[in-house]
Amino acid sequence: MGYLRRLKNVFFSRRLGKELEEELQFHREMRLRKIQERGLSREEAETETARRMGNVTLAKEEMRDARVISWLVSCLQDIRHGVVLMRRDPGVTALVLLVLALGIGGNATIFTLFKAAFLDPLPYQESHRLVTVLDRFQKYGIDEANPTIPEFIDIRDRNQVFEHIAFFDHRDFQLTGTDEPVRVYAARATASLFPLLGVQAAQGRTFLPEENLPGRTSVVLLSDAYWRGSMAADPAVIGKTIRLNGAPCTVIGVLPAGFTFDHPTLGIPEPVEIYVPFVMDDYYTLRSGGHSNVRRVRVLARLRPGLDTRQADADLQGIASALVREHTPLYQTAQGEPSGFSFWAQPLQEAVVGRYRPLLSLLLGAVALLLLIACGNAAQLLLARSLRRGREVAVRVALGAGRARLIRLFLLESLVLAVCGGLLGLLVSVWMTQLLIALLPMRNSVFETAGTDSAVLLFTAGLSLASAVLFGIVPAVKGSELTPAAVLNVRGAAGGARWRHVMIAVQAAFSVVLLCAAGLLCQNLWTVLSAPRGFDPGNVAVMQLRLPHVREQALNPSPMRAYSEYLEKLAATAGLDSAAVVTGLPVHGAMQTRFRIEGALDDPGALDQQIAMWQRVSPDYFRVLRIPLHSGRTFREDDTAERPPVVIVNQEFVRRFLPDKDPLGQRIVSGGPLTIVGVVGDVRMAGLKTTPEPQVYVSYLQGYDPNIHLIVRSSLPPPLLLDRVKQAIREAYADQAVFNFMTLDEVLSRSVAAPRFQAFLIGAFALLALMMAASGLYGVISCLVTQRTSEIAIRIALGANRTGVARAILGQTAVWVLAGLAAGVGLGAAASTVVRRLSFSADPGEPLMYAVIVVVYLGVMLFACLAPVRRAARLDPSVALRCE
Amino acid sequence: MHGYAIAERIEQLSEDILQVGEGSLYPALHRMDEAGWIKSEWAPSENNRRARFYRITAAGRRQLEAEEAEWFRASEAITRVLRLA
Repeated sequence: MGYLRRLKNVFFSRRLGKELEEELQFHREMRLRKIQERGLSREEAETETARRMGNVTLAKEEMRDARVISWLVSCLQDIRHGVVLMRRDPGVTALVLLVLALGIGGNATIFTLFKAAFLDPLPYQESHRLVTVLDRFQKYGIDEANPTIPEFIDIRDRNQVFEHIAFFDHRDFQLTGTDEPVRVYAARATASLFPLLGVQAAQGRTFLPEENLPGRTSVVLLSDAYWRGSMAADPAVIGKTIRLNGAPCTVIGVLPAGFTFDHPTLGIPEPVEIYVPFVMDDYYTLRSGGHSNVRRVRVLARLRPGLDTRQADADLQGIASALVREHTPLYQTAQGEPSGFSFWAQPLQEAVVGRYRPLLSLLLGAVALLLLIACGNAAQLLLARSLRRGREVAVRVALGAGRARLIRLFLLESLVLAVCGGLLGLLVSVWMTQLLIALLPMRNSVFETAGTDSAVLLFTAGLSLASAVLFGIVPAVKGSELTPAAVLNVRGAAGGARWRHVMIAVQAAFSVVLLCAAGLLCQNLWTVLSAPRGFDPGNVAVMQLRLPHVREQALNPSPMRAYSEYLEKLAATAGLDSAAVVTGLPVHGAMQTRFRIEGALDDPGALDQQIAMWQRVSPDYFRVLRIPLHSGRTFREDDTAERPPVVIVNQEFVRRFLPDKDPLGQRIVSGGPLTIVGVVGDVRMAGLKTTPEPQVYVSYLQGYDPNIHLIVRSSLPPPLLLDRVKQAIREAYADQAVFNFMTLDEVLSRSVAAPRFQAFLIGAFALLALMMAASGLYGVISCLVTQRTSEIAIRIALGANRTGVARAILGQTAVWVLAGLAAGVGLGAAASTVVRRLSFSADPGEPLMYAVIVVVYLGVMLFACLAPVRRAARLDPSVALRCE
Repeated sequence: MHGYAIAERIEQLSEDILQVGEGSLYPALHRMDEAGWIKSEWAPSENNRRARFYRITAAGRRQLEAEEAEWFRASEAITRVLRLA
């Protein structure tokens, strides 16, 4: 009780003061009256009273001391003093707040992202019980393959650990019956998906298990975004029919607004617009011979309460062993050995966000270094300030302050700065988080919900406190060392130079480490950007088509003739130079297929290597992309299914597999013999890979793929081009939707989005660090010049020229800066393996890069020293010495 | 009693030998209040102004006994030394 009152008295000091004054005033009046009774005049009585009262001020102070929590009062005084100092030195304050805001804000931003990915649970009911089931093939080193549908059925029927199990994959549908055919991106799922995730429809219902069986009426579930966007939030949408791929489907429900399940890391690259039941007919569910038609799907499961993934793994292992026994040929290598097949369960959160851990760790490391450099800057500025306050400290010591009390004073002043810096940093981080999320090279709904919340506030507060101690401790210890005699008698304070030099060296080292990391990433970005492409992307646009099932059936047995028709119409369209179709896309990637060289020995080692990128192309493909034809011919319109199957290979293929022979006329075998009729130049197929891969092209008329890319070379502006293309295609077939239209330049740009993002962000951090280090050095040199003014003046008077002066000032500091630089380069080189692993960069840093970093660093540092050194060299000895 | 009355009483009982000044009286009163040996409350006084009235507590009485005993022991010892030395 008393404690609470004393706490209140700390903050309501004016009220306390009034009470005490009232009590003393009462006493004074009583005394006055008593004295007046003795017969003195009013004046004399008052003098006597005053004498009797004694030192009222001291009395009041002692009374107040008894009534408050004294250490809290002195802490508040220190904090108030900190605020006064902040206002008195606006330059220092501004600089400290700036570096702290950047350092703390940067950390808060990355923490927000980190928390959204790894600390916040996924937005589904009890998401810690959700797992995804994966195949493992030990012999091939494959750890994370998706199970096939027959495997899913076996797991569903035989497991003892899962409460729910479901699977899904994705599919393009064409929505017809509106002005123009539109492509809709759908997820196909088992009915159990929604109960598994704990999601209920906001309107209508989700799927019934019977709707996964073949031969039922088609139903569709809409996502909230699709319902609002494409169906104008129609309130009577339940029961409506839409035509998907020509077949009528009934809308049975709309999902709630907050529900998202399109995580690219789970194999859903685009936002899902509608959901349809996966029809489990025999085509998918039977293990029909070999590996054909055995589709792989993403399997999700919910563990029974109280079970963990280890128990799930054990159960799944049992099921896997049984399957290997029952269907041995499916789980063997080509040589007849067991392929080490098993199932395992991965926590869903790990599957969704695990891939981002390296990037976020890299960013976290970088901002941590930035904060340390910022604290170094703040420490230097505060050290200089605390040494300037020598007289004030001396007075405090004379008034009875102990060392601990002084250290507490300095630390609390640092705390004031840190708290203000932290608040500014929080503001910075709110803005930076939104910016980063918009620029992230990957799209994931976990990041879209990232925001500044109480956890981030707590983190920022903790970080501010830690920074206060980190940058406040050295100025506190050094500043409180001053004894009154030393300060009041001797001119200026020359102490603290060693600490400042150490901090300069540490800042140098850290900023150089960041520069090395940034240099590595920029170097890798440059390698990726400047690697030869093998094709000319200018004026080329790409788009996707999926041939509707109806059309496929109409053109049976040659559905690819539809593509010929499209190409014919496009050839007749004005403004188009050339057009082609292709499966897969340069820089984007394509399927890979195994093959055999006919006539070559069946060496098992070599067989493993015989895998190449496989693409179906139309004859004009090479012309559209300006890929050079080195020998032989391109495809012709008569390379149809009735004619002998032909292939075209690239130069890398020849280099690797047919080095000493003329490739034309050689045959390779993949599902049948194929004759090589042409050799073309290498094309880069993966955005980040810079070494050429072997490629095989087959004629689009000698095989079929419903999903195709259309590429067009034209100098028309893209919107006009899209219109013309759509028109031409629709002349051939009215219900063909064209989607994902973009220029090939955009595709190229997206393929390097990740290394570009990393390089720019770490580069920004490195530049900030460099600037902080430079400003730190500027501060130290300025301070030195001021401190050693008299010494410099004497040197100039004795005839030293500018370089002599510069050497005198910089000499000692230069040693530390160079030491820091060397340490930084060493650390940076040592850390480069870690950086490369975290950023998936291929190449180690080249000596040239390190050399450039050293040169840039020294240049910036010299520039930072320029102004103070020039000031020193211009000193007029007579003026400088007289001012002493 | 309020602070002035305490001061007057001390002067009275000691026949004006002990004159308590505010510099020592009030700080002591407030310290003892915080220590729990006396308790205080504001109340109207004789001249229609309010004053802070103090009274001793049970803990205070115990403390008083202890300090009294200590004082008598010390003064006895000093008297003995003076008389015999």
